[in-house]
Amino acid sequence: MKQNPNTEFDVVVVGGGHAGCEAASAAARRGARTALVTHRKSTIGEMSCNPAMGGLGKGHLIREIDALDGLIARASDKAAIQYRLLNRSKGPAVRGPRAQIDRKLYRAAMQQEILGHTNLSVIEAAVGAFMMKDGRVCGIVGEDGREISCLAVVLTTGTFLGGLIHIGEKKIPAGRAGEEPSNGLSRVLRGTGLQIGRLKTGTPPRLDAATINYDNLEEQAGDAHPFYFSTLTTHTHAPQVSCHITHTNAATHKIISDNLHKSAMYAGFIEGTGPRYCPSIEDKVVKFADRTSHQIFLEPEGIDDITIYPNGISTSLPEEVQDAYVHSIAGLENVKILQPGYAIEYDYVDPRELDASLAVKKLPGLFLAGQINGTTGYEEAAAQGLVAGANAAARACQLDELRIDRSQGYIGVMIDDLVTRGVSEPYRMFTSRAEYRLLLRADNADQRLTPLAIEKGLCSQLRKQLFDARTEQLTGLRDKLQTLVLSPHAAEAAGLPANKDGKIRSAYEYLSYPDIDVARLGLVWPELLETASELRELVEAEAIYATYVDRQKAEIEAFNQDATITIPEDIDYGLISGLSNEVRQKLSERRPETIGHAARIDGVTPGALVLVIAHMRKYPAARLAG
Amino acid sequence: MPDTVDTIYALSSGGGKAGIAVVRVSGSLARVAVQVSCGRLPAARMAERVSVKISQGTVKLDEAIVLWFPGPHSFTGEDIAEFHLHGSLGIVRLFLGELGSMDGFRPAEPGEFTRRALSNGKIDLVGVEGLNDMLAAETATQVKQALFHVDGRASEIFHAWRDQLIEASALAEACIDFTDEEGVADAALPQIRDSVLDLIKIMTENLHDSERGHLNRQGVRVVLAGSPNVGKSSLLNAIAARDVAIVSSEAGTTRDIVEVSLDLGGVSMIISDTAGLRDKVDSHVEQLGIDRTHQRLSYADIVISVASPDANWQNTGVDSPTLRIWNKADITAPKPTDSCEMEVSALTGKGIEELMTLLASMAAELSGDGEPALLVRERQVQAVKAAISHLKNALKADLPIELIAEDLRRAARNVGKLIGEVGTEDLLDSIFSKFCIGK
Repeated sequence: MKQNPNTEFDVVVVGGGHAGCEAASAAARRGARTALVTHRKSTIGEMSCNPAMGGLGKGHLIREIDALDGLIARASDKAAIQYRLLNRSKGPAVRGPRAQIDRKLYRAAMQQEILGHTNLSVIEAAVGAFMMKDGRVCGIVGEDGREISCLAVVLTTGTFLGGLIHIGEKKIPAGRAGEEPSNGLSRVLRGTGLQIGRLKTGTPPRLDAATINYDNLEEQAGDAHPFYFSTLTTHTHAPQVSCHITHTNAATHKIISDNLHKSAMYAGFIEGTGPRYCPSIEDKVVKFADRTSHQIFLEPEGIDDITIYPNGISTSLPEEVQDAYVHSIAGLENVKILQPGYAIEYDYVDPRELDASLAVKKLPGLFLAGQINGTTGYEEAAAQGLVAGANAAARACQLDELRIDRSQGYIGVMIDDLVTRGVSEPYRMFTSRAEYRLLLRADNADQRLTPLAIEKGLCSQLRKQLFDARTEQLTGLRDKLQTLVLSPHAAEAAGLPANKDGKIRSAYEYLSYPDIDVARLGLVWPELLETASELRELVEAEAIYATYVDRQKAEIEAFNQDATITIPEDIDYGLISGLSNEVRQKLSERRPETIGHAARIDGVTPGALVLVIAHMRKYPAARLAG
Repeated sequence: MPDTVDTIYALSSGGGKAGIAVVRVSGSLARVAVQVSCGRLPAARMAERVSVKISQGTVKLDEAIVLWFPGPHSFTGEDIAEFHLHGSLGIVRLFLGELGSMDGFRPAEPGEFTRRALSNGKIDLVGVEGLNDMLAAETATQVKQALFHVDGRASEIFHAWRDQLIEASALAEACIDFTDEEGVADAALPQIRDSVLDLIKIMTENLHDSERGHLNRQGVRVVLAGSPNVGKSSLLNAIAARDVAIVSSEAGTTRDIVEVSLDLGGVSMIISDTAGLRDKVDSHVEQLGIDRTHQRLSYADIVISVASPDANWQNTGVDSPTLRIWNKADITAPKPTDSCEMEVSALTGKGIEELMTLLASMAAELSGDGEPALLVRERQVQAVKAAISHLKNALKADLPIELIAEDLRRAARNVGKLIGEVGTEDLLDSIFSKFCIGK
């Protein structure tokens, strides 16, 4: 590892949100002298939107961050006040852990991690510009003029870049409610020639729990047996609570329709694109006019917090209209609104400006993570933060890069989607984005990624020991399942499904039958029950998907082959005849690193790839030169 | 970015002396070719008579019609110029030489115009394959079959399959990813089931028709088989000599098999003569010939089983439609009474006309009167077979939703092989247009 005595720090992370915390910790864990620069220490780990972590796809991301020894999973477990494993009734590949989170407990847990972190200093400052040398980013300049030199900067500014809050026709420049935006940095970035666009997201009004009438509302309790986010977590930390469900009605919809022209969105004040999967209540009423009612989850923001987050009615209507429609909803007739809902518009950098390490291609030394890359969600931000921080450390201290591909994890799927396809709305993770979904499960995240964390120096000794122990147990269980066998006759005697073909079957084969789990086989072979139930479930999942997974593995091989065909950096797409202008322009701009990357760029056809490969074969000399 | 793609040119009509020769030019410099050789640019897509000059526009070469198609509204999507010259070898040679001397121009490689049309999205893969068939078509049925793929009717059907699959997939994915949303999962499973059953039905029907498509495209394969010396070769010669409809007559790849290809009432037909079949074989060489005959018979769409006073009918060992005929009817000899369908004489020509009429009607029936089929290539047949097999898998009882989704994805990938990939964004678009997602 390289020492850099000439700079104040190796890595500077700007922003103390979910991306910033993971970035700073990852860089510091790799040994880089790291600084986290944020407006205020007290807002580190703030959850600015809904008080929940995880869900489908998102829960997978948290498990993967945990497998790489990131912070968000264990901080969430310390602050979780209701656990629910989504899709529990469906197969193990599509189950997603989710929890309601106590905002204050979460902030405290995250601040404890960050403020006591080895190799990590926290500096309170507003960043206004970069220090540049020979076209490289080599530090940051505070708005007070203070310079901090370093070798790599990770920018995780969330919605603060050019942030603008809309409530009806009111416009308030802000990063989030009550906090200043970063307009200086926005101007600096716009001056660099990077492609910058505007996105929009929204929040609902916050309600006072004491003024809600819960009598006739449906209660939703958490799971009796929680599925924790972190494999390090052994018990539930906080008291557990319920959520409640209410609905909009015809009266609500009428108030909204009548006042649509006052909505910032519908009055045309907002230029940014909002997410389709998280529409405002205005959008729901307009686009799904046939629905007479929409569901609202009343989510508590904490144990000793009176605030309720009504999930499902984000809005940019004026305060008096919010007031009217909220009071039309069952249980909320007399509710007190603590803070109005708002829409917020912010700058994002087209993520196609980045490579798969999340480095800005045109500005060496600069890394971006989180909402600035066009994503939405705490989990998406944190996952990018971890990768960007690990790679900023790699650049500063000349270590190996951390790259995760689509076959290794949801993190790889997300980053590949971002850097090859860009975004047209805030990007959120779904399980349907992962083509190897059956392999990339929440239960096996550590088996997929912890070896990588160990290899890259991201992993603590404690986690390594736990990982080794889990792996040993898993291997032991798989071996037992393969070696324990039963004839059809003996199977019948034991009450297992017996196929009378005389063929002796292993316990593993019986496990692939529907309705047969390890507990059932334990009646025949009690030694199988020695393994922890969590790991038994993991092996059961493997058995269920075995036949499909074999085919997926073959696909991954084909995918990896494409990924090994490197395209020379200096390839001149202008020389390849037969490429359409559109494709030529896209390839020239994005400069994909491999044929696999090129294939995933919108509009690049298999025909075009053949032309590129043929060109590379025809001019192998150019390839060597590249 | 400077546009450095070469402008390409080629003689697009056939070579040799002809009334007209058409030279096509495609690329960003096509405009220059017209301006230099004609002195001006005619109105877009209007035929104009012009003087064509060479040597940098100084020497008059020909009076011609020139057509100007500015991109993207052209065959390749680039600027195209077409020069309809007088079809003399000299004019064509001089004009091509003139184009070749211009900077940035080069002769087109085989298929390059089509390749550019493909990469500019002016034509899809289905269209390219159809175009290939159309240029090779010899009979009315082949033209009709190829046109079905060139004019977009085939693509339209493939796209409809693709859309239906995306919709079914989106329902399954919504059940998984938006499990907390109201109204998503309720009706999804029965809807997916109905849609999949419907697709299986349509795809299977088209698979059955693919045999017809193959016949349309490749021609009906007729095999003459029988004992040695029953007059099979004479019969083939009599057919070949009978009329002008012969397309080609050449020795097969083996010494023993001779083929005649002809256009019979618009249907292409390939008739093969084969080595005589015998139970007892004397030599290794003869055995090889008989093996080839059996191989040929196994591909036959129609078998003409020949007998004569020399030998009775042989068992051909295949169940293709078979026509049993008695040759050498000019010789008076006792004839077996069982199931002889026609008497002919290759020597006198007796019955040959009737034989041809019968063959034509059998061929027409096999090829569904030449109605074009959707699946005409092995590649397409394989992709649809794979898609059907994944769809059937998705219908298995008690299959978890994520495996249904997996099978639907695989089916979509195979349909994608016909026309292009189905991406995640296609699925998400479908989900968000259908459901109100978002708490």
